[in-house]
Amino acid sequence: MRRIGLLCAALLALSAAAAAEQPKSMSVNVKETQVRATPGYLGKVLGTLAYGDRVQVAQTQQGWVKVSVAGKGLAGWINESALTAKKVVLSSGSSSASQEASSGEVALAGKGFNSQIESENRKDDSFDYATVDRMERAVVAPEAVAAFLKDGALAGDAGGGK
Amino acid sequence: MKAVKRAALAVLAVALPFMAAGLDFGSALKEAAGKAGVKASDAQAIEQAAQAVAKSAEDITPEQEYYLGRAVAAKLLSGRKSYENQAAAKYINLLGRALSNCCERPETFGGYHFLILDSDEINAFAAPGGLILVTRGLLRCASSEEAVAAILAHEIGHVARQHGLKAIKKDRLTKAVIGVGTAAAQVLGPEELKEQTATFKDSVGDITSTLVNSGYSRDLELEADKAALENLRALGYDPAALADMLRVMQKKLKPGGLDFAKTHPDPKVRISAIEKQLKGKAPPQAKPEAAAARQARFKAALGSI
Repeated sequence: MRRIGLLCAALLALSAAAAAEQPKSMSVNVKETQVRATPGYLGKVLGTLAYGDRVQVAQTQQGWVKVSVAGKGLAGWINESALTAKKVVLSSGSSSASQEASSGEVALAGKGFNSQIESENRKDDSFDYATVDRMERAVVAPEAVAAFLKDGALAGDAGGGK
Repeated sequence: MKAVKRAALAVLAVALPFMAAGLDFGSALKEAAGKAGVKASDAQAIEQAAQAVAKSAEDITPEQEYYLGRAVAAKLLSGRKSYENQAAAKYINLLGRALSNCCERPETFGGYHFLILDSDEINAFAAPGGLILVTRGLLRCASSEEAVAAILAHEIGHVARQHGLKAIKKDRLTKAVIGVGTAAAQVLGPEELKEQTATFKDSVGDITSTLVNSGYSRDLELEADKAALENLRALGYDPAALADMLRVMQKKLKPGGLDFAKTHPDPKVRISAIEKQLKGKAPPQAKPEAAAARQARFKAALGSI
C-alpha cells in the first residue's frame, strides 16, 4: 500500500514537472521581433524574426525566452510578449491548416479582421490611414532609446519582467 | 440539468467578486466552483459553457488587434490635425518606447507609436495594439518629463491590458472572429467581404465611441493607473508624478467639458487610489545631474508646446 502511495507521489511530481516545463517550440506572434544576445532591450540585436517563425525554447527568465532557430544558426533571447505557444499558420490557403485552426492550438494568420478587410475599409474616406502609416513608419532606433535611458539615468532594461 | 443550472448560478454569483478583483472570467469561475463545492462534472459543464461565452475577446489575435487599432486610430485622426513638430514627436516616441519596453506587454503586433494632436483640448486616446494619441492641451499640463511619462504610461496601460477590445460588443465578435475561423483562410468572396467589413466597422465604432464619448469604466481607468505606476517605477521615475499630473488637470479641466472630463472619472477618485498604492513605498531617487538632464530635454522638446 505504501509503495503505491510512493508511486503516486512520484507520478504526481513527474506530471507537475511536465506541466511546469515550457512548450518545446513557440511561434512569433508579432509582425517582427528581434533576437538579442542578452535578456533585455539593451541586449545586442543578433537577428530579426517574422510573424509565424518557429523557435525552439531553451529556458525562460523574467519575461524573456531563450530560443534557437533551426536552419538559421540563430540563438538568443526574445521577449515573451512576442511569442505564443500556439502554432501560427500563415494563410497561404492550405486546407489542412484551416481544419487545424479549430483545435485551439493553431492561430490562423489572416483570420477574421485582416489586410483584405482593411483594403475594403480604406475606400471609406472617413478613415485617415495615411497618418497612421506615417506613425508606424517612424523608426525609434534601439541605440537612441539606450542613449535616452543613459542620459536620464533610467533603468529601462526591465523588459516586461512581471 | 436543473441542478446544474442552479449550481451555475451559484458559481456565477461567487465568481463576480473574483472578476472584480481582476481575474478573467474563466479563472474566476474555476475559483468560485471550488469554493462553492460544486461536483467536478458539473463544474466542467459550467466551465465549458462559460468558455463559449468568454471566448470572443481572448480569441482576437494580435494581428486582428492590429487591424482594429489601425482603423480606430485612422477614424480618430480623420478630422483631427496632427501637430507637426519633429523635436516634440521624436521626444514622445523615445520616452514612449522607453516606457513600453518596461511595461507588462512590451511587444504588440505592430508596436507602440505615439503622435501629438494639434488641439487645445485636454485628451488622450489609446487605440488597440499601441497607437497612442495625445493632445497639445494635455501636454501643456505637464511641467516635467516625469509628468509626460505618467500620461504615456497610463495610455500604455490601456493597450497592454487590451481595454479597447473589451469595448467591442460580444455578438459582433462571435460572428467575426470565431464564426468564420475556417473560411477566412481563403480570400473572402464579395458577400462575405461586405459582411465582414460591416462587422469590422461596427467593432471599430464600438471602440471609438467608448474612447470619445462614453469612456472606460472606472475600474478599467484605475487598472490603467495601477499599470502606469508599476511602469514608471520600473523605469526609474517617481510614480507620484501621475497623481501630480492629475492635480494639475483637475484645476484645468472645465466641468462638463467634452474632452477628458467627460470620459474619465473624477481626478479626485484616481488620486486617492494612487496615493493608497504608493503609501509606504520609497520613490526612486534621481541624482541631481540626471534630474537636470531630464528637465533640459523636456524643455527643449515640449517647453513651448
